[in-house]
Amino acid sequence: MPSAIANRKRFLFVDDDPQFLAGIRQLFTEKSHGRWEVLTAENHAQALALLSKQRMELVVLDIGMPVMDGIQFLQLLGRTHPGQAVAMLTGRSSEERRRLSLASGAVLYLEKPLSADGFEAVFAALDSVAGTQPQAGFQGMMRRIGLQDVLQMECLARKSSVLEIFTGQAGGRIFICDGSIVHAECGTVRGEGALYSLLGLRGGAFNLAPFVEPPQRSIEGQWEFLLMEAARINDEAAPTLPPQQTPSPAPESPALSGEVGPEASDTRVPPPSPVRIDEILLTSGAGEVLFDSKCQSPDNRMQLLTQLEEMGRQLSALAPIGRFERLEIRAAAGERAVCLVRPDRRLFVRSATAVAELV
Amino acid sequence: MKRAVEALFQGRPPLAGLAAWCVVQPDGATFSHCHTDWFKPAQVERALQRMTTGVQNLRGLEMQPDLWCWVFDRTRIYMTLRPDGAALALFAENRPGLPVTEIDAVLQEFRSLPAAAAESTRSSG
Repeated sequence: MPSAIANRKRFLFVDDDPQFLAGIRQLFTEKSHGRWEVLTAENHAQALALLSKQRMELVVLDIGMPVMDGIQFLQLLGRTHPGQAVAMLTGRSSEERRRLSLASGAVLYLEKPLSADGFEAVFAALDSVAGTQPQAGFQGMMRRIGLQDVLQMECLARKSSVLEIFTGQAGGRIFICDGSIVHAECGTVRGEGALYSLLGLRGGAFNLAPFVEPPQRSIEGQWEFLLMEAARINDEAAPTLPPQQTPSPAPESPALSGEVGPEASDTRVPPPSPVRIDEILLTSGAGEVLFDSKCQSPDNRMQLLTQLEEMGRQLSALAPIGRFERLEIRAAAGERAVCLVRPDRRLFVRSATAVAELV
Repeated sequence: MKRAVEALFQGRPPLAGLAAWCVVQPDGATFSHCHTDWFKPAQVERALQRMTTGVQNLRGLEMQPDLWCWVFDRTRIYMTLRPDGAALALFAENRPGLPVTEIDAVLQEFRSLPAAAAESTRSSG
C-alpha cells in the first residue's frame, strides 16, 4: 500500500536501554497499526547517523544517558538539525529538567510510564504531537526568483522539502530529500522528464512545503547536473518556441527519459526560458572537469574559482561572517555569473537574464 | 562622501537584516557603521578593503561587474564598486525574506552619486 507507506510517521527513540527500545518498538508499532515507523538508537552517534539519512517526524530522547545527557543532545540537535521536533521521555523527571527541556526547544516532556495505561497515554501524546507540528514552509510567487534558485538553495542547505508548483497551464511537485532531488511529478509524468518540464515553467506560484516521502524515488544523480541539464534543455528549446507556448507533446529526447505515464504526452510544457546560459563549468574539488558547456577557457575559470576560494577563506578570517559559499556577480545588461566553491565541487555559471536583482 | 552615503540610509526605512555597511573612498580611506554588535567597524572595513582589491585583481572573468554578492553561511555581503574606486558594502544576515530590492536600490544610488560627492568628502575628511 504505497500511500499508507508514504504517509507513515517516522519516530526515532534514543535511549541507552536496549530492552526499553525493543519494547517501545514492538508496542508502538503494534499500536499504530503500521502508521508509525519506529527507529531506535542506543547512543548519540547512532541517532545522528540516522538523522543524517532520514527526516524524522519526531525524535524522542531519554534524559539519563552517558557521555551527553538528553538535554545536551536536545541542544545539540537544535543547532545541527534546526526545526527537528524533539520530545523528552525520562524516567528521572524533575521540575528543573522539565523547565530546561522545554526552554531548549523540546515540544513535549513526558515521564516514562510504569503501566500499560501510561504507555497508552505516551503513545497518544507522541502521535498527536507528530501530527500537529506546524507546517513549516514558504509560499511565494516566482516572478523575480527562479525555481532553479529555490532548488539550489534547498540543495545547498541539504534540506528536505517538497516544492509545489502551480501555473495556469501546469503544476507539479519536486521532492528534495537531504539536499538531493529524489522525485518529480508533473501531471502524469514522473522522473527527470517531469523535473525538466517544471523547471521550464515561467510565471506562477510555488509553495515550499515540509518533506513527505514521495510515492516513488524516480530521480538519482547530482542536483548540479540535473539543474544544468534543465538549463541546457530550456536554452536549446527557447529559440524554437513561441511565447506563451501551450502544452505540447513531449519531445523524443534522451534527456527527457524519466518515467513517463501512459498519458504523459500532453503534460510536457516547454515554455521559453528567461535565462540564456552562456557557460557552465563544473569541476571536482581537485580541479577535474566534470561538466563543461560552452566554456572557452576552463583554465581561466578554474583559476578564478581558486582565487575566490582563497579570498573567501581570508574574508571568513577577517570577520564573523561564516564559511564562504558562493559569489554572485551581476554586470550590465543582465549578464550574471555565479561562482560556487565547495570542498568537493566548484561551479561556474554565466548567464544573461532579464532578472534585475541578485538573489 | 560620508554625508552623501549617510543620507542614502537616513532617507529610507531601516533595511531589515542589515548588520553593517562600509565604504572605501577613492583615496582608500574608509568609514562604516555597524547596526549590531556582530561586527566591529575595523572588521567590516578590512573585509571591504580585501574584497575591493581582490575583485580588481580577479583573473579569468571577462565581465565588467557592477554588483557583487558574497554569500557566506551567516552573512551576505552586497558590494558595488564605482569607476572612481569608491566601494560600498552592505553586510546583511543570510536568511530568506530580506528586502533585496531595497538593498539593490541603495547600491544603485551609491553608484549614481555624483563625483562631486566624492570630492567634497575628501575635502571634508
